[in-house]
Amino acid sequence: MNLPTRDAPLAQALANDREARTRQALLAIERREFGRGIELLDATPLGDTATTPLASAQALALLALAHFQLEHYDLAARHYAEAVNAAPASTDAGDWRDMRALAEANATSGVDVHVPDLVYFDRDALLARPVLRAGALPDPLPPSPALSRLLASRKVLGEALGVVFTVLTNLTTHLYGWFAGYRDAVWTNWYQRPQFLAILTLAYMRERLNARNLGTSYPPGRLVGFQNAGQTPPPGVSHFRTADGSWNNLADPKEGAAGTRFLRNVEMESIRPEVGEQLLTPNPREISRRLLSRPLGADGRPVMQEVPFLNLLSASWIQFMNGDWINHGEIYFNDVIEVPLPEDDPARTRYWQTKIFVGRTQADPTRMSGREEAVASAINEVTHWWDGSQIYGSDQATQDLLRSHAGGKMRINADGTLPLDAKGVEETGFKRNWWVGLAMLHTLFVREHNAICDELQAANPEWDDARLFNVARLVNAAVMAKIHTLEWTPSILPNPALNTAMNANWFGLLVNFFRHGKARKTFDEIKVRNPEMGGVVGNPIDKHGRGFGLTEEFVEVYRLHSLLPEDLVLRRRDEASAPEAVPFHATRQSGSPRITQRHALADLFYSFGVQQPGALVLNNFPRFMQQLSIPGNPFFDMGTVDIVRARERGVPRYNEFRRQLGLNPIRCFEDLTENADDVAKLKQVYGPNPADVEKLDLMIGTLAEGHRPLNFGFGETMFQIFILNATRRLQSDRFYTDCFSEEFYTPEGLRWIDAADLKTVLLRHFPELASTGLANIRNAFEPWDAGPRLEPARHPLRACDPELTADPWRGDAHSPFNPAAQGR
Amino acid sequence: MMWFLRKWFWIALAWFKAVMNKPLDIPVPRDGGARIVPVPLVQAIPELPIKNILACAQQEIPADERSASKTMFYKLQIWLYGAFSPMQAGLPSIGTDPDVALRGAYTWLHRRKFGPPVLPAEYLASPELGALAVRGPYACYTQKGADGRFEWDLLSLADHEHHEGLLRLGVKVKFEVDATQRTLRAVRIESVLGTSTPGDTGWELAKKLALCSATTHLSLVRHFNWVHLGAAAQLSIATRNHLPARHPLMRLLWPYIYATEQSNDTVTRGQMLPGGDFDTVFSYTFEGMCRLFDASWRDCDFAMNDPVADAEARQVPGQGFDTPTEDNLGALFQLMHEHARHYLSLYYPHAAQGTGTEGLRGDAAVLAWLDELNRLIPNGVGVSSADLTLDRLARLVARCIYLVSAQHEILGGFLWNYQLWTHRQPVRVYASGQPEPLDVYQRLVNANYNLNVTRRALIHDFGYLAVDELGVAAMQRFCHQLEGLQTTMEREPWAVWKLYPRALKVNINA
Repeated sequence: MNLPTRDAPLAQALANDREARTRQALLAIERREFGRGIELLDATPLGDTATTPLASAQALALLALAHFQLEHYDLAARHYAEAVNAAPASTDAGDWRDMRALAEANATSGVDVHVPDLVYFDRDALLARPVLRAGALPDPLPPSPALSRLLASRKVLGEALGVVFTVLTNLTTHLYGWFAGYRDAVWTNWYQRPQFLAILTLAYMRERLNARNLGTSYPPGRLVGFQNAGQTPPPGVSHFRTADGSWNNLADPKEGAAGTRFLRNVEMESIRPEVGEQLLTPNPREISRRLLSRPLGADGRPVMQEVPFLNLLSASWIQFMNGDWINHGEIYFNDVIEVPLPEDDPARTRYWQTKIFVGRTQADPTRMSGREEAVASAINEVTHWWDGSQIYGSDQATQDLLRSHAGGKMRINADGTLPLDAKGVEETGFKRNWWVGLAMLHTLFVREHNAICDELQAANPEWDDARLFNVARLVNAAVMAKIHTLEWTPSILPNPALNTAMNANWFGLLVNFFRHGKARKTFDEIKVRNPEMGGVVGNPIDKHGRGFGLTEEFVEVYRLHSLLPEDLVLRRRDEASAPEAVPFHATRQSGSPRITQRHALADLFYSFGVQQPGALVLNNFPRFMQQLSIPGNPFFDMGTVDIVRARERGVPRYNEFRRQLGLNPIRCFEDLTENADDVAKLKQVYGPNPADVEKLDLMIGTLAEGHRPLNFGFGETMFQIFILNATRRLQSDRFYTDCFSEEFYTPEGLRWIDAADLKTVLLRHFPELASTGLANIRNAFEPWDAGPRLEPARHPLRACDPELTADPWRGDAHSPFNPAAQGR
Repeated sequence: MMWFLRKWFWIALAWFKAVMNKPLDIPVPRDGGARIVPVPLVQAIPELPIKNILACAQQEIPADERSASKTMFYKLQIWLYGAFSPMQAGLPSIGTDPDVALRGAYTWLHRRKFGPPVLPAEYLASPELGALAVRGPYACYTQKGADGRFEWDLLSLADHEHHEGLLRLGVKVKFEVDATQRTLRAVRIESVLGTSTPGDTGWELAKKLALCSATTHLSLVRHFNWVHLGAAAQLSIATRNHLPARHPLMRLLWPYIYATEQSNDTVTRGQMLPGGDFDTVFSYTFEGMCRLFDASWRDCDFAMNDPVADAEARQVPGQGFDTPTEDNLGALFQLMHEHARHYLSLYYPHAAQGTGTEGLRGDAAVLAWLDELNRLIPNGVGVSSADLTLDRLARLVARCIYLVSAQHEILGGFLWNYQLWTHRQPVRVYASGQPEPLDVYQRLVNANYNLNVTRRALIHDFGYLAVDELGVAAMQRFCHQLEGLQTTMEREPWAVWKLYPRALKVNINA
């Protein structure tokens, strides 16, 4: 039940003094003078709830709303509860109940608290030279001993083969791409070709993107972060990652560092930050409601369309990775974009407001006004590199705080959980948008770091804390990168050609051809010096002529909120008690440790392993995210925000984005999808004419794409950015290319990386999971089905695993080769 | 070159034993065998200065299980210990890469017969002892200490002489209950290194000492001393000495005891004589090992063959942490107990129905059998002729079945997936920090390999041994129940720490 609307005159309902005060309070709340509203309502006797129950309940609900808007969530919850109790039986108090639940969850999770502290970019700090704390990095490791004659000759052979393969692959890729092309009238067609040709086409598309779509945000001739050329690298940076990502490139010290600009994948001329009417057309809130909202079921609960072949770890994983790669930092609270709420928007009466307030993206303070070619730029708060900065931090002070300074290890509680900060949230390197799914993965990889330290120390007892920490960080970051490359990406895009291509990125086609599964090593007997045949990792760095940095376009394609469910279903791995559904809201910020203090971490991972995420399609956006509360803003619709951000940052809309990335534009909404309902809704929002497709927002277009490569969890438009960056993130990083060797990682480190996958990492730290469905599958992002037979639709990747050709659908833990079946 | 020859010679021998071994055919028992009078081990095998342990002398091995070929083969093997020893001084260590070590020692020839060991999830990193305290073979050591905290108390291992260059074994590990994670967490280790706590520089080494102590105790004391010599050998002697061939209890126990004396004789010589597996693989010198056997014999507790009672005695169940191994073993024991009770109730119906125990208490053979068991097995079997009831007898019989099947398996073949990963669980802890030398590791691999030989399964129809149709049906019913449990367990993912009915052997003999 809602408060009375403007259309229902209040005069009749507010007949006495109490009602007049209630009316005044209502007007105060409308003016966003919530304190005044509370004063009026607090000073107002509630009256006889028996004789005027509805009016009393409405006053209580109004009081609750005022507190809600002031982020007094505990008081709001109390007053909503009172309103529900006071409401006459004939009244539908469902809305107040929802608000009460939301307020309770917000109070539990402390969403009024800024996590992390509110800090804005500082121009001087961003432009300063990179500073390295004395002693932060140890001296380089001694160089590897000279190679034996056998190893030296293998190396020469690898290099010789590399020359041959490079000529052959370049020639073949370009000739085939030129001859066969890669797209039909609208859509790409690589996936309709035999696997070898599909991979060749993908290689051609990637090379085309490398040649055409690597743009910068810095003026020509300037180093990243406007650094002076010729700076002398401090000791240690040659061998170890710095906290802020500086000195990865010894000649361009801030390339990829935290506090430097996002780069671009589109031409400068197509970057047009939208303002004024254009920014709000079509209305982003209307788009959110019409095209994103999950439908409601008969019980009034949102109905999520699930992805059959993924589990919920895949959703938390990508957010975990995003924390490593990208963030625009704090938004502004005093400079907001006002998005009007449509007249029929129920939020008008629920929140008693007519607009949604979206804080603008923080400005880039390093801009040289009027002297830059790029019309817009923004700063990445974290390092661009794939360096695990989400758990190590993107600055030295954070890293120092997180380290135990003993044995190279990170701080962790005796019970294996992360320490909490003063706000009651887990301490880690990056904790924006925090929730328990992130806490689990951060905990897992802090434990992994510490386990790597144990392994390194066992082999090198003389090493000090700093050396152990820094080598362990190299190894741990590579483990995460490997899991993402070989497991997460193929799991969400379980297509045979793509799976082969991703595996080739790490190991090379030859290793994948001759070896399978755990027998594959990054450095096999012969390391072929060619990225396609010998793998990107461990082969020479190649930035394709452009400095590395992640891009605004990259940020936009990682808006994958539809993966999230409304509730987490928490189970015990022995299923000894009934599952507990926890609203997502209640797991945020300080709500996260409340969950980990009540549930075993192994049970939480099990719960995520058997719960499925939402599909990346229209009308599957989590409803809870459409009424999110963030510090300073109790009503924040992430669906609206997702639309606004792309427009605000000048990321082209869908069709132009496709053109920029070498794809054909759609000509009408019918090109996009064969789903007539979707087409109708798109036309309703964007307009009925073919030309209206140019207004289509990037995220909406990608979600609506009905033409997807076989088994793809998302469409080809986003995939273009993936093709480009899946390789580039590795190939541009010195520590995955030139410096990926025993000299930098140690033999134990390389062995650890070769043996690691997510399943191994999970089992390493939670061996009790060995008797769950995790033992039954290869890729830990697939549903943890425990039975002897696995459904092809839920485990499609198994069909392309060369180790499983005999019977891909028999669960690994029910293999005839296991000792139980042998009767041993 | 010499090491290459030694290595492959002994690998070939181990492979030959594995290939040649066939599941034992168990004949129907017959009366008329001579009474076995156990003697101190030093009398049975004069080279072993062990006085407390009782054994059947070689010449007294019952004729129906005597095997001249096996005796001759082991004689040859023992001769070879001196003539062409599998050990070679001065070899390098196996290195730090466990996969390389295993590939080097567990060769293509081995793999023709059995697959390589599976790495337990607990060993994917430096192990949390708390996880091993509730899951896997070492869960048997977990007990509530006098201070109310859980512990492994293996300090008694410190009392015996070890090889030079090794750290002295003997540890006490203290655990805390983590109620949220429902597990145990190791918080302190007392060892030759002093007291270590997590985060100490010596913590990792202390953990290795703890696991080395546990695996040494498991193999030498629990497995060989308590199961082979302390309980199974005496069970065999008492059964043969007192139960007539057509006695229903004899027919029930017969497959579990048959060939024990022959097997024990050969295996004791092969493993315990100077230069045998035990003193060359584990930490103790020959003298130290003999003293350990002598000293630990008196601690043998037959109740350890009752996982339910044993766990309760150790105060493990219901303490706020999961007990997966106890649950697994408990389920196996429950079937054995049910089988024993069902079978015995067929032959002692009044005792079963509670209408009279005269039949049972009047069975002189059973009473004599019990008396001898209590005399021969250190600390007795917990049931005497004076307090005999069908329930007690059934539980005792279940313990006997469990002893030779589940207990023996979890201490023997089950270690295949644990004991070869010496980078986590060394069989020797060198003061220098080096891993085991090549010869020690190779011998460990070969010895464990031969524990995997194909043997007569517990799930086998022994109905032909029954005295009547009722017995046939009862024995077949047990098979079906074991199969049922196997099927139930197979619905869940296989895990290395689980003991499956189909993995169980019917007795301790190869």
